[in-house]
Amino acid sequence: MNKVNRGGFRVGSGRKLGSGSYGEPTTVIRVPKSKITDIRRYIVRKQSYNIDTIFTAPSEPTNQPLPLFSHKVPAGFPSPADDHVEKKLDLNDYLIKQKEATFFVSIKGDSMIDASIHDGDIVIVDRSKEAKIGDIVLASIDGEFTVKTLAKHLSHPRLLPANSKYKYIDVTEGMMFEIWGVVTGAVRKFK
Amino acid sequence: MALVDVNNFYVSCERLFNPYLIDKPVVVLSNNDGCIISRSQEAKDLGIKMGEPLFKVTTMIKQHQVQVLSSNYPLYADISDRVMSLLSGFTDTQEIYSIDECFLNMEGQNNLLDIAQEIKDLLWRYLRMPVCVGIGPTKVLAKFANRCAKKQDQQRGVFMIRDANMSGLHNIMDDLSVDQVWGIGKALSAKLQSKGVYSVWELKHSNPVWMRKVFGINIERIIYELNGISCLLIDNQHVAKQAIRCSRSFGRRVSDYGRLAEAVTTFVGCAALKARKQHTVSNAITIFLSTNPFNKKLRHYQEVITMPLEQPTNHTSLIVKAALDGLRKIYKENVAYSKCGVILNNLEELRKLPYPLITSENKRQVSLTKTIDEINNKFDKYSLRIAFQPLNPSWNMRQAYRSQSYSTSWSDLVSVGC
Repeated sequence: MNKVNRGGFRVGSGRKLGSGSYGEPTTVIRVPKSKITDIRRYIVRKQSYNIDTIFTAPSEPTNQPLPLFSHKVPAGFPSPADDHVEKKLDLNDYLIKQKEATFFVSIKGDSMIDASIHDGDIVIVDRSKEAKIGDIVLASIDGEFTVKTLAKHLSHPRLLPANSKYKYIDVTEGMMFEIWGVVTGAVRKFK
Repeated sequence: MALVDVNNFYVSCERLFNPYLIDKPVVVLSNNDGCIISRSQEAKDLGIKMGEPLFKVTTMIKQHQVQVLSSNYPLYADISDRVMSLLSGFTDTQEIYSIDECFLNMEGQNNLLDIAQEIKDLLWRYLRMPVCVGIGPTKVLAKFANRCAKKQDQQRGVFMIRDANMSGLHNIMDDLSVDQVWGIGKALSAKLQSKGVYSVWELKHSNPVWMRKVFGINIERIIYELNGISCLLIDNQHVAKQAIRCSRSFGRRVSDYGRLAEAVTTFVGCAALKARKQHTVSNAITIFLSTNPFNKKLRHYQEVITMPLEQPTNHTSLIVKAALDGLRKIYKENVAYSKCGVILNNLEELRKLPYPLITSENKRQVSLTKTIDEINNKFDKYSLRIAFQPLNPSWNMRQAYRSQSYSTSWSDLVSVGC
């Protein structure tokens, strides 16, 4: 047989699997013609974000909450969405329940790191909430503030750290102890 | 009618953010760390008097380790707002009478003693503010009840005068001199005593018509109010101030014209901002300077001048110009000034002026001032200011023992070790 050295399969030739713009192997599927644009758009969007939904965050939480979706209106035509814009997001609403009794406190140290409270965080403390066992609280012991998880041991309160490097604090008789408020959240900025 | 006030308000605010101060004698000082203006119960028990100059009690402060603090008005103002906002929930009409007390109209509500207790508990739990609640059929009686709530330990901070003829009132009112009644000051009470009216009870039972002829209409109203007839209405309207004064004692003596100009500029800025906030304009500015009257070694010098403004205005830059012209006229070299201030006079509400103030010439000025206020509101109080106005002037008040702005500044939050 004569071997023809033209055409056909050659090892190592062609595009490598997963080397395309999607970064992974692709396949061919049959789709309705009318959905082609939608599917293309979906794929493009999926590629550039790693979260599901994007909200327009309010630029100035206290004064000017922005609508949930900002919508550009073509000149002359009323937006069909106008009647449906109802929710404006305000971080204060999300973080603060009783504004008169709520204070912000900044955190120094790592004893609550396993409870997701990190050095430099600002925690939200609500004095109107009654502290229950298991709550993270701001307490004062002998004139000093600390943030810990409230627990009970025998008949006295015990303050638990959330970091194995630290020991719990037992509140015993003769100590000046006050639960100042309940920690209801933490705020952290990355930049 | 109920009168709610916070006990030892400034000390209570300091204790909220500094548990170390709890159960210790604490005093708060006036501007410039001069006199004692708020005392904890422990400090009162030591015999420290209201208004006493700090230097007079230094030995006692050392001996009993009294905690001394400069006043921290941003903090007190924020806590006051919170207190008033919580109290407004108990009534449809509230009159904020001072930074730490307000009248609440309780008409049509039953179980007033329960409500009073609820108010006390709520303010303690939410804000750690100890309060006294006085309840009475009129404002004067509510205020009097509040006094009873405060002075009598067994009342636990709540006292109610059900009606003006309540039994037991006789005993209390007989023991108290007339100056314990709201609206009767030292001078008036001396005059009353000269006419034979010594106790509150005697005042209550004096003839209102005759008293009016001698002492004027106010005393007549007070007598009616003491008898349960309401004459003083709750005032929830904010009346715009007719003059705004801004002055300061210097932390140290100032002789230099430049430094004085800085101070005048700063005070004008502060007064003009207040005028803009209440939508009023002024047509004249007063500037005053004085040396320390208590310093016997130096000759006392004081000078006042009032400068007209070209047209009624509340724009900082226009007023500063007039104020500095005035300062130049009264300034003397080689005098050690200890105090200086400005007063914006004849303030009138913008909307009541017979002619429009915004003309094409000053339109720019108006929008510039508006923009500056907006920027300062958004960022820092003094982000934009007249170049003359220093951020940390050398003549600033002494505030050696001031706490942080715990609740009003991001950089001053309570920092908790954790």
